[in-house]
Amino acid sequence: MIAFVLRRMAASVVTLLLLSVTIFLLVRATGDPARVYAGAEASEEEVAAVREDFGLDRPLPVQYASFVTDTVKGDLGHSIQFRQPVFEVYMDRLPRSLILATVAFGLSLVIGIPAGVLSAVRPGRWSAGVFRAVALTGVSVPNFVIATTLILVFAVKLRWLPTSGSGSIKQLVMPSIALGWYFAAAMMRLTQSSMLEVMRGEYVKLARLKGVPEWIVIGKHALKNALIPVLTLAGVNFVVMVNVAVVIEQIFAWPGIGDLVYQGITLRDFPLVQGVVLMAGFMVVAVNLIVDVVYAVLDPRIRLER
Amino acid sequence: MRTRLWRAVAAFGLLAAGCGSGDSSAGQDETSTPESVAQVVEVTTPQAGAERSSTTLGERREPAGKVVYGWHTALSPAWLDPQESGNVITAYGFNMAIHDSMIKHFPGDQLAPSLAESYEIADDFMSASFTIREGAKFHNGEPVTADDVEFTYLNYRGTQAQLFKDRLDRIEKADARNITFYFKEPFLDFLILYGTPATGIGWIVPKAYYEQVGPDGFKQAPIGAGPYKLVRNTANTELELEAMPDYWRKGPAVKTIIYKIITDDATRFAALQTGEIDLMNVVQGQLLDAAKNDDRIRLTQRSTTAFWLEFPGWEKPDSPFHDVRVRQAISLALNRREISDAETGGFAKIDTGNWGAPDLIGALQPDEIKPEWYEYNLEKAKQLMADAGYPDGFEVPQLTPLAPYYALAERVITQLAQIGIKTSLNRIERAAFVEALTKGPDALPGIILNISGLNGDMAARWRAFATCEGPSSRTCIPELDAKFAQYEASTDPEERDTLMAELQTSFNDQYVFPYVYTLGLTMATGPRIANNPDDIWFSIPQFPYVFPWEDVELKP
Repeated sequence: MIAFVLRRMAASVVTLLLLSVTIFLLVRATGDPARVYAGAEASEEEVAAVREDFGLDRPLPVQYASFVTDTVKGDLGHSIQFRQPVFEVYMDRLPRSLILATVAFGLSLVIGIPAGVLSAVRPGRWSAGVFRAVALTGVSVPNFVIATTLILVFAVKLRWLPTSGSGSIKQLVMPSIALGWYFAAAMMRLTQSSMLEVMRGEYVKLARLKGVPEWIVIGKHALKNALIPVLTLAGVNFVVMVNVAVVIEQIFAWPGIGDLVYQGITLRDFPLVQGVVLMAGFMVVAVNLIVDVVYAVLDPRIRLER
Repeated sequence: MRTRLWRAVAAFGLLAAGCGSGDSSAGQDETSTPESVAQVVEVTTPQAGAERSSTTLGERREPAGKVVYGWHTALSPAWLDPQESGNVITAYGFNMAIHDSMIKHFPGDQLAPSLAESYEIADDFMSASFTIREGAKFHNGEPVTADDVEFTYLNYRGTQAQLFKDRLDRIEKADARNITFYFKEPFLDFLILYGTPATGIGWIVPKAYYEQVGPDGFKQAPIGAGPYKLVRNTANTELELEAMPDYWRKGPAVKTIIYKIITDDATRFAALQTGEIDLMNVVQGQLLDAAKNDDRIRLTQRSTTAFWLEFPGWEKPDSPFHDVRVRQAISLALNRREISDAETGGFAKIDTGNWGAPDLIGALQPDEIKPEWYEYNLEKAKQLMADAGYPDGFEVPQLTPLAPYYALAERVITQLAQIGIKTSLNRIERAAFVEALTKGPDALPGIILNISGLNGDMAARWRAFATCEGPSSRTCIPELDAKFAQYEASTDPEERDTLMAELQTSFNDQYVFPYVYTLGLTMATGPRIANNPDDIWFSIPQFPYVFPWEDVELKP
């Protein structure tokens, strides 16, 4: 078991290293942030001063080595635009993203899982149709359309909810619906396929033959097993909701990580973009690592196979 | 002594004064009438030996209520520190509330003493003396002193910092309120660079506090001497400002100002409709129609700065743009009325004719603009193309606009096609565009659709875009460079004035930067604001946002 965990951790480190190289090179491929910061009319001397100030005048390998060693020490660098440590900027935004993602995530589960179960076990029922329609609308309609429609109806026309901002429950309603709706559809489809597969299992047939009530067969025996892959996806979805809800956060002026990424990209704030992407990558890798380990604990075949 | 500087100032002053009454629609009509900017009265005002003083103190009042201002861009904390001003006018949208400068424009009163009670520029431009306003205080209660003014100058790291350091000989402080800068050589541009948003060096920061918290700490919790102090910054997405009742000019009427960052246009407009915000930056596109149909919303529209075209590499004989007839044909092919109608509903100006707008100090004034620089004549354009040897036109690799003016670029492309110039849109993001501008004529081949918000005066713009070594220049005309060097070396304001006019005229006669049209901006005011919107939007030259904040009032 220890060897398995160590192997998985080593793979995670390699993944993060590859991610760090990729993001480091990608942000630099887009140009010189010193020029953007100094402005088009700034002299070469002014731009050079900015470049030196942020260490951008050093050779790329030196910059990368510094980036990696600082990151290992927990220092994600200093934001060019915010003039604060990236980690501080990130942590400043993180609570709001967590709040939004948690509510949106809950919504995606509440819609996606029942819809998936109903679609699998009662495909002809009207209720399954309604759930399916709601979930598929979320994935078919671009989220900016959903977001602006919600604003038009509930803020401008009905005046029930504020258009934007954060700090109150009312301000949370529309962005979490717009964000969670999309993910609900993905949850529904995975739950449906997973349930269909599980329902064909011998133990489900046996439970039915033994006369166990259908709702117990579905809810206790089938769903429990069907949810394993669903929860894996859910973990990754949650990380995505926290870190890259760019469009939703822009439209609702929600001061989260997605908004931060957008600012970092538009202002060409290398350290900020690197830091946020790395944090997101770290979360995804961590979630996958935890899931792998939990699987291995639950099912010995997994750790023996690898 | 008559100078272009003061003509521009006077022209804008008249415009601002003319906008002081009437409803918003009247304001729109005024801006759509070319004469409102064309009005020029020459003012006999000495620039050498300029001396101004103002000891007037405004009324004191108990501030009350809250105004929410919907801001349209992401906020960079660097904007809260004028010591690192990057000549970005957006930054001054915040500075004008939080900070104060020694000299600044006020509505109808340009280069007026602000934190300075008086100032004097020596006849030989070798020194500038200031007396700090008695009772001027920072938000922490500390008085503004000569030490702060000196520190601000010496510690300044923003745009043109090196120029100020190179020119400075010494600073003398007679006492806590009197300070004089002595220069190594005549510094004719000092007043413009120190007293306008061309640089941030005149925006005073408190020495002791700045040294205590450092530049990064200052950006998180800036302390200024402006009419409002920052009391809350929520993740750089919402700023809460509180009135300083003893601000020298007058006590603000509104107690709390919230700057709410809402970058999405539709959401920002929805927030205005629902009353969540009271003032809104930039209404554009289809939202304009909705805004016009909402009788609770008052719109203020102004033409601001000009778009122009550039032809990188036009100096090379094998370039199709080398022939002045081709460049003139392009100018003649631009149907500016059609562009203004499509882009701004017709209110933006199409006849300022120059790549520097007339309220830019030193720019050509309306009576100096030749109609042919903005003439639309397709037949004449086609004839010129034929005369130049291109009766069927030619292909250009691309036309690259500054983001986000892609729709405007498409219109220009369509109009150029009518004289046979075929090209396609090169859509790149703003940061990449800005960087490419600095890499010479080969970085963006074809045609460039450009615009600049560079503050200060026409000379600053010329220095950046039109000199052979200019940081954003893709053009080089040695004889005009020589003339500009003459301008830079001259200590005679009248001679400089003449040289600057000649430079622009010569440039425009050669259609080096054909004028496209003048950008129109629309700002919106909600029903709770008592002011006439024309008094608080676009109230000073080259600044489109709300100012002066201490004048803003709520309805009872």
